[in-house]
Amino acid sequence: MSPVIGPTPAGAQPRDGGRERSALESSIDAIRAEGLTVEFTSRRGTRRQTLRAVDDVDLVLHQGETLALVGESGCGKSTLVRTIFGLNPIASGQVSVFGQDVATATPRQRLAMRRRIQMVFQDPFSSLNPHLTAHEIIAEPLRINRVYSRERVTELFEQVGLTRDAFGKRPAEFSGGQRQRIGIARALALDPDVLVLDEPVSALDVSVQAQVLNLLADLQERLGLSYLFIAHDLSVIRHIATRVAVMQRGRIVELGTRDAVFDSPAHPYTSLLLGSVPIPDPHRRPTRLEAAPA
Amino acid sequence: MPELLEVENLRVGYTEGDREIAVVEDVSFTLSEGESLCIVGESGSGKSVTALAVLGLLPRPLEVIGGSIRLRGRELRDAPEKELRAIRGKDVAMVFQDPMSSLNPVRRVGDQIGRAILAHRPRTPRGQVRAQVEEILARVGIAEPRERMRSYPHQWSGGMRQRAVIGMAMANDPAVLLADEPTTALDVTVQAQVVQVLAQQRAATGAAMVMITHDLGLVAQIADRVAVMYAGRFVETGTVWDVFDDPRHPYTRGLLDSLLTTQNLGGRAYAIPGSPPSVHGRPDGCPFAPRCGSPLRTDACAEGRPALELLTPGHAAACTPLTALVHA
Repeated sequence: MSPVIGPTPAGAQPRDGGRERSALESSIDAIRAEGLTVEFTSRRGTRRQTLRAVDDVDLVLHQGETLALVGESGCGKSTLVRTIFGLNPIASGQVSVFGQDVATATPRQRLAMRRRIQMVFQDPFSSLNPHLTAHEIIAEPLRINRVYSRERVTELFEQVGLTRDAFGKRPAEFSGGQRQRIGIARALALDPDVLVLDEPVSALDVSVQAQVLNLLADLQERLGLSYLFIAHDLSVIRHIATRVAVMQRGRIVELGTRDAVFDSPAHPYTSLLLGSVPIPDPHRRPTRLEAAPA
Repeated sequence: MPELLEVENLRVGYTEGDREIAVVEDVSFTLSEGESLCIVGESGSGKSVTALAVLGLLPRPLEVIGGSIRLRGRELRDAPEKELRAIRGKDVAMVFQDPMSSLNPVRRVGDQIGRAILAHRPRTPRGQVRAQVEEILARVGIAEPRERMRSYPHQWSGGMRQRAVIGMAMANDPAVLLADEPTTALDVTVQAQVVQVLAQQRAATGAAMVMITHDLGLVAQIADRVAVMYAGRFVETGTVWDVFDDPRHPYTRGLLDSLLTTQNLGGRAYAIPGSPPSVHGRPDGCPFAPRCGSPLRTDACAEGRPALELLTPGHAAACTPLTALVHA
């Protein structure tokens, strides 16, 4: 994933954390994809091959909800996310962010859009610049947008549960969980409405995952954020999601509320995913030992 | 009759100036024929280092500083490289997390498995090696093994590569298999298949296994015995039933409590406060004391290192107040 979709400049004035929205505004879907198709063409000699990475996807992220996107590697999750951020050409269909069509947005509109939707990356080791201090990392998007104030940075530190003595430290001096907190603070700097969280806890230690999930739940409650939560760990998804979308080979094969998807999966692929998770209870061991086809 | 594998008071570390920094301290375990032991711990707890020490594969500057590693009574610590080479892959084989790092990208998969066979049975005729490779691939569930053995690793999926690596590890019918997070890099559905392949291979050959993982789900499914590792030490050991049904060490309890279950859906999950100490910042006393929420915790916990002591036969924990309570 390209770092381009991190904090990006925008021309508008800061919204000072004010979250008043008109009634019309609050009825708009945060993200809306309709018939979205993304294709990549590769050439081998004279032969052209087209890969349909995202195939006719309809998906809506409502304001204030957590929509989990599940699927295995290569299923098109990341391509879908990049397309939402306007980083992939769209073959057909459309995707809009707060009613603004991503494909037809002017550069100015695109910048404004990118302030409202921010990204948190999987690996807190590679997504933070190792040369910068925590303060500089979180201040960067504010400085670029000329809205920097020390108070705002302090506020962001507090919001993610970091103390002021962390200001001057560099990423290497933090644990994985603390680094992910810095990544979250940076994403929150420009007061976005939507966070796209790409496997935000899968690189963290088990005992720290729960801390970060709790933080995300607190932030959502406090700031009214909407989350598009990409994960492969079904226990994490079951914990945090409002709705779940299951993706396979570029298509959404199942979409429903968390309980519907987990309790009565309709698609065989969803059942396969659910059945593959080892249950942390030695009393519930599977007895199957027959041959496993590749 | 000596145990299959005995590790006693293993201490692994490196020297920094004139200071010795221990990464693994006082680790002891035994592995019987056919048994499966899971070492559970978080990153940096020393679990991979423990496995590498057994095979004499520690990367510099790490070295075994103390203790003993015995395979069927034979001391492996400081054994000559030649002797270790004869053991690696034959008596003790290893499967790593990332199959791509165990496979040579410029050699055909079949050739690589063939080399594993020839390394220990150099006079095997070519045709026989080829037949064995084909059989190995078929056993780990690779369809059309005769054609597929001519592929290069990049032409295979991650799950297929890990199957091949498991096949390679089992090629010489080892008595001990060391598996370091063998499924972590794979997708869930593939994970389940690979776990099954491992189980089948062990059932067929009777190999014992030391599996290193952070996934408690996997531990519950495959372990006979469990060792919970924290900050370079075993803090609790016991049968899988002991550890899951009656966890005693506050860290083990915390880990099991922080599992996301259907009981706390949508609410806040239990989280162990703080984070594991780094190798340099390990506290003097009990390494878990700064994060410990046990009602038994006293100021004395920040002083001496608690030793792993038996609570009931076969079930041990390294928690001073707990031991005092049990033995009172």
